[in-house]
Amino acid sequence: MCRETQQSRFRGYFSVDAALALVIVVFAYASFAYLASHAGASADEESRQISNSLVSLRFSSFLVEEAITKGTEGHSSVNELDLSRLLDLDLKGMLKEMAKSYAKVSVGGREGEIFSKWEGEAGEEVFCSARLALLNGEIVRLEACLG
Amino acid sequence: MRKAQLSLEALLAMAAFLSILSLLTLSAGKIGSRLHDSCLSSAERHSLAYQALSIDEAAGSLRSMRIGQGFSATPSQDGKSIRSQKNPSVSEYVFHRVSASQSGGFYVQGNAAEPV
Repeated sequence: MCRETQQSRFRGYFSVDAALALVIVVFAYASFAYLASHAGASADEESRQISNSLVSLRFSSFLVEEAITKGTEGHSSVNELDLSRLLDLDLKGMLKEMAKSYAKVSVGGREGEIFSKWEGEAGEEVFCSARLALLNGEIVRLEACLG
Repeated sequence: MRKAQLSLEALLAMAAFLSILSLLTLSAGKIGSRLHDSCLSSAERHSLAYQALSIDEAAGSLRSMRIGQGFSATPSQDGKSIRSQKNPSVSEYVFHRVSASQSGGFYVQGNAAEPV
């Protein structure tokens, strides 16, 4: 009689159904944790990508602005580049301020690359932005990269 | 005697169940809180990136000016970056030196003596 009671109690506490329910709960919880951590990582990665793309876009604007030829009385020609100004750019100092490791500026025309200057070493991720500008009346492509 | 033993076991089982349940709830809360923080800082980084873009683009064409109101960021002391008010660990570098305007917005310090 006593043995029967013990057996039934044993069966009650460690049934296959309870074990299966426990497995399902653990699996559901692990899935939830995995999903949540990936959602967070994905949001972080997306915002980092957007931020870096916009920094490279702002960098290209800044370079165009710095390299624009100054005419008489300080008036600048619209997007007319002065290569000597690009040559004088302190990319090393800018990298230090921005806490980045790589910067490159290049100007390309119909015949290929006209000017190129870089500082630092390109890592796995480099974000580039290109824009059109003028050089001696010819349309050229100025590309700015940051990594 | 038998009755008392059964209720003790039931109590133990209930205690174990409640402990596991509270552990899971706490852990889920922690995960949810981390997810919330992560999404918040992502949203702040998004917002700062676009604010920095509008500051740099406007400053590039106008050099010395007060850039509109409605910015949620604050400039750093050296004026080289803007920082989120809600989440100060999130900041963005700006290519033009900026300072806060008392009436909101930013002054670009290209020619700080003559703010428009």
